[in-house]
Amino acid sequence: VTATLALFAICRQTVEVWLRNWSLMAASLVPPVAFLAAGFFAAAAVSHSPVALVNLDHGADGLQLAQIFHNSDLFRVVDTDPEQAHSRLKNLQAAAVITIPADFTERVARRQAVPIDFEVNNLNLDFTNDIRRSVPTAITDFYAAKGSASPIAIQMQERDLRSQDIELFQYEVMPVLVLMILITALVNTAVSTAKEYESRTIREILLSPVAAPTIVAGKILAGSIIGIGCGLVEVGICLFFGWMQAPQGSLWVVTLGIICLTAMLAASAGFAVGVWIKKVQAAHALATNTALPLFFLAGGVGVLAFEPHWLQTLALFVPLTYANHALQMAVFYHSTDLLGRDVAVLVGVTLAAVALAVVAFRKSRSNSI
Amino acid sequence: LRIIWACAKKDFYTSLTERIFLVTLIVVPLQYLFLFIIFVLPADHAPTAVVMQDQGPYAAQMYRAMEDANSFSLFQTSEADAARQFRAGKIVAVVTIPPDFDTKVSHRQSVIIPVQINNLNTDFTEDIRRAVPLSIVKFYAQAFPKLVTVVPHERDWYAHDTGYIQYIGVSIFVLALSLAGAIQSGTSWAREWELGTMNELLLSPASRWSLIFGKMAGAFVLAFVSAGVTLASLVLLLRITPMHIGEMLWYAFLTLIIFCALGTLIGTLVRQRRLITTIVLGSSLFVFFISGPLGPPSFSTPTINFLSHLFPLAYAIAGEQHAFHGFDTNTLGSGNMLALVGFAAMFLTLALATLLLKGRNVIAKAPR
Repeated sequence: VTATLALFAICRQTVEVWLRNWSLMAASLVPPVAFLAAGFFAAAAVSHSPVALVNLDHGADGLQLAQIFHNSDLFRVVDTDPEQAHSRLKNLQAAAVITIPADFTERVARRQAVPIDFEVNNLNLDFTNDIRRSVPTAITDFYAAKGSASPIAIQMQERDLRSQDIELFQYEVMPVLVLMILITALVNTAVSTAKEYESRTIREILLSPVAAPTIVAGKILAGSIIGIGCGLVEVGICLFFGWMQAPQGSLWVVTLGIICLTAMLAASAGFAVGVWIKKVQAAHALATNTALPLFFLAGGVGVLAFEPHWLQTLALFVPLTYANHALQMAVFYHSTDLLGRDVAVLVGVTLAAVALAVVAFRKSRSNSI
Repeated sequence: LRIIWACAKKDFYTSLTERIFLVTLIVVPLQYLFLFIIFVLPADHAPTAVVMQDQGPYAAQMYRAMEDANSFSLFQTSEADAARQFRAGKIVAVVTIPPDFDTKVSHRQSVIIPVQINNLNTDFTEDIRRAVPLSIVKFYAQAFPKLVTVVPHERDWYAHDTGYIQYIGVSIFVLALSLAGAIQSGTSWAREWELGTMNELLLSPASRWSLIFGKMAGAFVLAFVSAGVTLASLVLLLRITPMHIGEMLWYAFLTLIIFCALGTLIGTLVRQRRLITTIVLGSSLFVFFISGPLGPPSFSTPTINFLSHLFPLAYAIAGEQHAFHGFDTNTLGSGNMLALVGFAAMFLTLALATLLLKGRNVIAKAPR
């Protein structure tokens, strides 16, 4: 009973200190929130580039092709004349100018070659390739609309895995959730532990009759609670704004379980770092600089399965990869595929981190005594 | 000048003793560089399985057209293996060339190509949706040039394409300059406040300008060195070399001046080293993405385009993109440099005003 009381007392004190220390709170919350905002702006920045459309043909086919470009939902299409279009391209108000020639309808009817001219500002391949793909897409749509009269007999029949597309930003919400839990639990536990050493309040704890595992558990529990709390707040915000799909049925349990495990893992590692470093500035810098690369390697900014093999192999050694995988499976695929493996890795690494923390703490205690 | 030199020298040597900060300054931009390379690596190369149920010449030609589309990372596999990889989320799409493809194409009959798409992330999903029609048009252009008469005709603004990494690398260099300048300078001011030595500086007869220039000079040198590591990585590892070295250095110089001044301002206001790092790191990515690191801000949404005008990073990125690649990413031309000079003057004035204000408070509280 005494041990449990001591554990909760240490835990409560650490959480209360965090809640009172707004600079520590900011240090924990700002990076993931910034990543979320950055992801939002990055997703907005790479979609719907402006394109100037010059339709010199007033025939039925010309109008139809122009309408297809308008309906494509790939760009912000502005109808204009050749002079204005050139000026827009020059003034960077348009990424490309697409021109439907004056004799388009006539030539299509006569089956004569008719090029759809597009002039593109090819300063980087991302939107250049988008435009390169979009013009042929419009051409196939144009022919497809002709039905049996179309010379293009090959058609693509799309079948999507899920009923609704997941936007780039929605996809990035999940890794940012993992980052949020990681940073709040890791950085906070590392910094708060180091602070105990720096302000020498650790001596009171070290010389107290409470067993080392109880102290370690109290600190880790506090870090976990902070990590879980911040993670749940992010989940709530994302669900409220529709940035995240809610897990279905029992997959809620999986999602919450993975959030808890990730927080415990991060808090355990944070405690070990704090005991080892013992200096607030250094612990903060080390924890932050460790968290970010781990986040990147675990597929924080891309789809890990689509990355090169060397990167996928490297990611196998990052525990966060498994947290990310389990959360993505539960939320995006409504599946528990490889959940056993993911949980086993997270539990194993957490236990290893706890053991490391206990050993480091015991050593520190014996030195102090 | 003596005061400036003394402040610069003292800050330089003090910072060298805080190795963890120096490492952070060097590592963080490199981390971002790595982040973006990871982000960009699979772009335009969505892993796609092709199930070839027909091995005829037209089917083979269709496969080649897909390879030429510069959009997929293609591989042929069996239906069962494709389904397995698709379910496991390993591939973006499965394209099936049906068994009667050649027969139907040669008889001009309708052919359906089933395309299963893992619509997990619209970046890849849209690429596939556009790349399959592109492949079909390419196939017809090669196999039946007289049949499909409407064809795309491309004219490029620049003589050669520039890869995404080459483009983003330059933007990251600007980010490195801004982070290094703001953190280094902000930390040096916050350190003085934390250690209580700021009062001595403010109560000394040294002018506020000489304090600002001296401390900024020390931060400038260290920030230049740490941003230089990112520049070296660009040049040596990614082979991104500046077209106009002088212009690149001028923009780097102005960017560092601006962010050293901004660091001075933040350091004087915040007075805590840990908060400096948090504020600068936290806000930098947000501002960075508004400032057009992935392409001209005007190609983005009107809101982002408008916001980009408010931040110096946008002008610095535009200037460096011109210096490295000869690109115009806004219409200001050399006006970018003027805009940066304006920002530098503004931040320096604000930093001085803040320091004067704080100095007055310190003098008012000083024992007489």
